Amino acid sequence: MSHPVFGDGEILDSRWHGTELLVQFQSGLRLWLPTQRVRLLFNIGDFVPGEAQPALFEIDTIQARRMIEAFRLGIVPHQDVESFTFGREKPIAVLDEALANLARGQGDVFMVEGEYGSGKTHLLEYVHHRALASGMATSLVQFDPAEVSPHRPKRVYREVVHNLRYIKDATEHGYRDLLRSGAALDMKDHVFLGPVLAKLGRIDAGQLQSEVFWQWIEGESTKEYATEQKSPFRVKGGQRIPALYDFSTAADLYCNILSGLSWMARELGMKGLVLLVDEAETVTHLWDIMYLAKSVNFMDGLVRTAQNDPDLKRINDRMVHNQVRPVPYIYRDPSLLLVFATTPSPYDYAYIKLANRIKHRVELGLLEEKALLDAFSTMVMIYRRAYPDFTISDLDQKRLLREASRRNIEGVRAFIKFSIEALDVTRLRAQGILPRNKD
Amino acid sequence: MDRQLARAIVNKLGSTGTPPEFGIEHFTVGLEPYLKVIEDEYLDGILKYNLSSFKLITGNYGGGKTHFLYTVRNLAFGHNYCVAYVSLNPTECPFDKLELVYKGIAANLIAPRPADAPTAVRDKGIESVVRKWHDDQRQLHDRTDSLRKYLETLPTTESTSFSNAVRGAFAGLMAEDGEGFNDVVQWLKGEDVSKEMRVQHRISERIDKATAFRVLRSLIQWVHAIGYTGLILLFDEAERGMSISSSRDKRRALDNLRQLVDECGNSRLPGAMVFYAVPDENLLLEGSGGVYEALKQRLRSAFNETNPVGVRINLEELGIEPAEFLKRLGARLADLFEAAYEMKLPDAKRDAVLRTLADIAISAFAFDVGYRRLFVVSVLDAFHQLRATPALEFGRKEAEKLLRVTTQRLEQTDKEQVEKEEF
Repeated sequence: MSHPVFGDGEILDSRWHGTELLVQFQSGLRLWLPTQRVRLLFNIGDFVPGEAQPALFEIDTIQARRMIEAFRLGIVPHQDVESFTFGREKPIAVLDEALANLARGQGDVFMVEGEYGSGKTHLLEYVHHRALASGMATSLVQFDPAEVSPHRPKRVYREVVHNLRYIKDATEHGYRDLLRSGAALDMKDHVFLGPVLAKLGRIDAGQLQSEVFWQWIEGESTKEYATEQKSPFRVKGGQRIPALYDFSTAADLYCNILSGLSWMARELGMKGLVLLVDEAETVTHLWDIMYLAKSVNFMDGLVRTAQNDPDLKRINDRMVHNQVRPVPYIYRDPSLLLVFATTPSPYDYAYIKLANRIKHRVELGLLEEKALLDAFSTMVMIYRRAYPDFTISDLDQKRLLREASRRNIEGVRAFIKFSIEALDVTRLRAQGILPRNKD
Repeated sequence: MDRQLARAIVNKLGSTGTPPEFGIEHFTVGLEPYLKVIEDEYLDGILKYNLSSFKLITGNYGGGKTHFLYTVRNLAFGHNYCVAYVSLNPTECPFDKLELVYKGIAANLIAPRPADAPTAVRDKGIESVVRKWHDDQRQLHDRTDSLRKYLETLPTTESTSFSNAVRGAFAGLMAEDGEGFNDVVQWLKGEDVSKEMRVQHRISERIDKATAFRVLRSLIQWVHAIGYTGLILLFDEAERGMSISSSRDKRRALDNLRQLVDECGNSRLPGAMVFYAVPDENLLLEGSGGVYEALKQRLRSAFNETNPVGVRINLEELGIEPAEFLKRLGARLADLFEAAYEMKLPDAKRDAVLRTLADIAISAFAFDVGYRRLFVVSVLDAFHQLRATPALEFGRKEAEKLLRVTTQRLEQTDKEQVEKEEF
């Protein structure tokens, strides 16, 4: 790296989520400096163009175009995450270990932290793929202040079941498949899943009421036509199933259901349930103090459910319970792995409360040199696949890589965006759509 | 060129300088590199493989954003896309209220059609698209049971309510049940409907801020399922959709935009492309906090120069000098004017008008791309004067006076328009 006053030096360490770097300067001076005050220098002497990620050698033109278009927006598409991951060996090892523990029946909670553009969503997507491949049920949800806010647990539940996936017999399955398989289990003691599974055993799949039933238990607002006497689509016997409460104090019911689902997954031969929550900092973005308190309670409940906290196996006065039909947060012994991804908000009450509850933290910092080399080579390979007529010399690749690496200080996203745009401009100039380079 | 069409274009351009939504290619200048890339790479490229894309369009007031969007719309029609051109504003269609944005999209949805005539009101909106869908299918299926079977096998969308609603509307038309059709279409337009109607059609969701994204995704999935290549969303005047008093609402609006970008990046809107036009990207991105940072990282280009495939398309960087731009634009306007009034302007006088007005417009408005709009209105005014008085001597003094008067008139019109819509 280089500093405008102290000259060149070597980075020894980082702190506060990469916002400060410990630098050993050639003069012998050793200082902690704000990251944005230093400029990373890059040694590209060892760079050999063409050393791309082998997992992507076989992609076709359309897949390549999909990736390139997403890179232009600074995003890696969901389906390509596993093959386009570089330099995250340590966080991946930690999370792989968490998956291995879950396979042994031990749930837990992890918090992935990093600044915007550091690759949190990318890492969650990665875990999502690994969990599916390892025989777990998994669901990746993204909190959102309007659509999926943690102060409305029913919406979180709806999003979780909507995105729930698992692989069985080489085929992808979803929530409905899980419940259909679970109908054979004895869960009569579960307040919601018990009557739901009993009803499933009697339902006629060909009838319209079946679809209404499914919508209802998936969290759609179908109650008025699912249970009302005059409704032509009324689900007979539906009154025995508790409503999926819409109010913010119902965190106990939804934690209970999620722990029940994780237990069910385990009983059905899967290795547990993995819940991945992106944009978890949304918990701090609520302006109403009541909503904020309920939101924090639900997150707290979820965390302790995954940690299998014995205090939550009974009605607990310290937690918020719904007043219609209070239930313990935890059903039996859950096998639940919970991973939050969040931007650090060290001065925020809700963030501190959540962070203090979670023992395992994974911090994402800047990518190292080798990772940048591999990522760049892979992008060039994908670009060539997307545009088969495109050519670029080794010398130009080195020049672009040097430029792109300077952007890495702004985050991985900036590095990827610059690399792709630079290749775009090179291609469009060669095609005559853009004027030739003046220099 | 058709005289009526030319006259309609000249009248529209001459009154406010804003482009008409038809015949746009007759006076398009300098957009070729962008349009070629958009057509080749996107409309005829990745969108046809069910991928999606997002572009931020920047260009100052009068800098050609609306013109550009209309041109994209016409290209999209040629490739069998449905299009919704939505003019955002803080009251009817603010971006922090996605349910109102959906309403705007539903009200402005248009099935592919010829681009050289104005769109009739009856051809605009989701209701007309459903009617056309029904009429087209009716011609393909000669028996009612075959039509019913087609409807049953139609792929469902992410929102079951949306899927039920479009099927309900189609079934209403099949049964010639006008009232039933109107009831369901009311929901599809984002308006409130009775509980009984929702029960009858198994519509469980309201279209509100919590469901708007799902319904929008479902709209795109449906457009695709009924045989169109995809959907092009053109959001114009986006700065007005963001001009919200509370910073909380603005953050919400920006977060919605960030989510829309991510949906496109992950191809969750198959065959859809979103264009979002603002005068200056800084209006969106200059702020502190997570949502600004997240958007900046996605929407800022790494390059300042023109890059038609980059996320930002800058209409101020067309790669043509202003004088050359106005020269080519002026020649096209002259052709239009002559076709509209079936006459020939005297060559020398016509050239003098164009040259003088271009010189003054550029020098007086050197730092504002709005000179293009001023030039258009002034040139057409001068042509009218020349037509009425062929012997007119149009010198520098006359040109300065005309530009001054036109500037005042346009400012007054803009002010009235904004006040009319916002208060």
